[in-house]
Amino acid sequence: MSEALITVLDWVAILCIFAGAALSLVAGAGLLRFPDLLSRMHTAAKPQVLGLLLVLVGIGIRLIPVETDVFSVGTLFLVGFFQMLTIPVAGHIVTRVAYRTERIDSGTMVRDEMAEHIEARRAADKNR
Amino acid sequence: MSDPRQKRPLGLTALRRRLGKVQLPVALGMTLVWMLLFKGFQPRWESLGLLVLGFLVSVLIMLLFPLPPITPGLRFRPLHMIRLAAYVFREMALASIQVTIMTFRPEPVRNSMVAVPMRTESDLMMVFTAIATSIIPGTVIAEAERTERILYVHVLGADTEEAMEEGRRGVRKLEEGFVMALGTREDIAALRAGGVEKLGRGEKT
Amino acid sequence: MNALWIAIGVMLGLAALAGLTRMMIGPSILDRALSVDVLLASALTGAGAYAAFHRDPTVLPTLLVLSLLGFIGSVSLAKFVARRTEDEDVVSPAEALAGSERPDQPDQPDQSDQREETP
Repeated sequence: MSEALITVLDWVAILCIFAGAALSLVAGAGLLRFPDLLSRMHTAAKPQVLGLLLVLVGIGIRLIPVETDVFSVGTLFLVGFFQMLTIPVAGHIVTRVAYRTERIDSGTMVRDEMAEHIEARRAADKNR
Repeated sequence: MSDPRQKRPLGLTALRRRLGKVQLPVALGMTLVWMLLFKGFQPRWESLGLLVLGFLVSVLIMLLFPLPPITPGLRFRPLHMIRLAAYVFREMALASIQVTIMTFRPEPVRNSMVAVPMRTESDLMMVFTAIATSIIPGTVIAEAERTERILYVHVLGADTEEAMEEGRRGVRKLEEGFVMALGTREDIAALRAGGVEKLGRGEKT
Repeated sequence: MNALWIAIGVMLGLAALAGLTRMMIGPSILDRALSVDVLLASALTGAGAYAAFHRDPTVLPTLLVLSLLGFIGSVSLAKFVARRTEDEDVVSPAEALAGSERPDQPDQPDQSDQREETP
């Protein structure tokens, strides 16, 4: 592989990893700044999915010149796949537990359609 | 379907019943993961042994922890799948920028919980939609109501009715994408009809 | 190019510091679980950056393990919180939606949160 091509690939890879690290930093800032748990959840989900995918792409590109085996690319795919499957589940479970144990700061909530639905259901039950 | 807690007679019949529950596609997928983990894709004799061993281990796992089968009705449409993937990735990037802006804006953030009624009957579509919604920053599933087919989505920064409607539209677009890419013909019909049917309840598509 | 690598390291360090701060001041245990997730994400990114910098694929299995560990950690913590608040008779929204009557109870402060405040 020519020297120039490798340089270009390296720059692409490093920009990907840089973007991933920047997303991590934004997530850290969001953790400190947002007042309630659910808002923090949104910022936390960002480096876990998009940031990690960017970093994986960066690693893949960086490894092109030295790696001829499918092994490391397969591992990268597996990491990305597992992360994309597990992060939504974990986020959902944490959100659900937070909502059920009433740890939600209602001060930041403008409108809660779930609570409205529950109220409507309860009222319908009472009338029956 | 039998209750997993009830006592089963140990013996050949029980084993055969368990074996009947082994789903071949899932076992093959697990074998693939096994091969990836153990560097199995090289032209050498050990790879064959790895393949057999991986398959045996995945069958054993499925014997020990049987799962209910995925309901049939996945129909793969590659073109729609590519379009959906492009949509999800673009949305992920855009939403990341949006959340970043929201993080560094001085005014306090305001959120809403939005109810999104699903238009299809399939559980699988609901799961896919929920996963994709949670992957995209700015929206996270708080509760999934299976009987009524409603997803409750927490939307970051939705402080007006328009913003809530925007979040709802995003989830519905994801659902549409998944049904078009993977759903059966009934799902697509339900998508079209359900959209019209629910118009009477005040939701706009 | 070296400056960019250093910047990546600094940003990851700052992100980890922010996560640690939230872990220390986080009012509830779920906040702490969340900050552990962010810490893990920074660790993943850091290990990945290491692999990319040295063009060294040997740390990639570590990434795999870390990505699964984060999931198991946050799910088990959430389950733990749910189990612990079960005694306090908090009716879940799903149960309420299913139509079970919920006895009107006075708003009592969450006891588990108070327990966490004491070191």
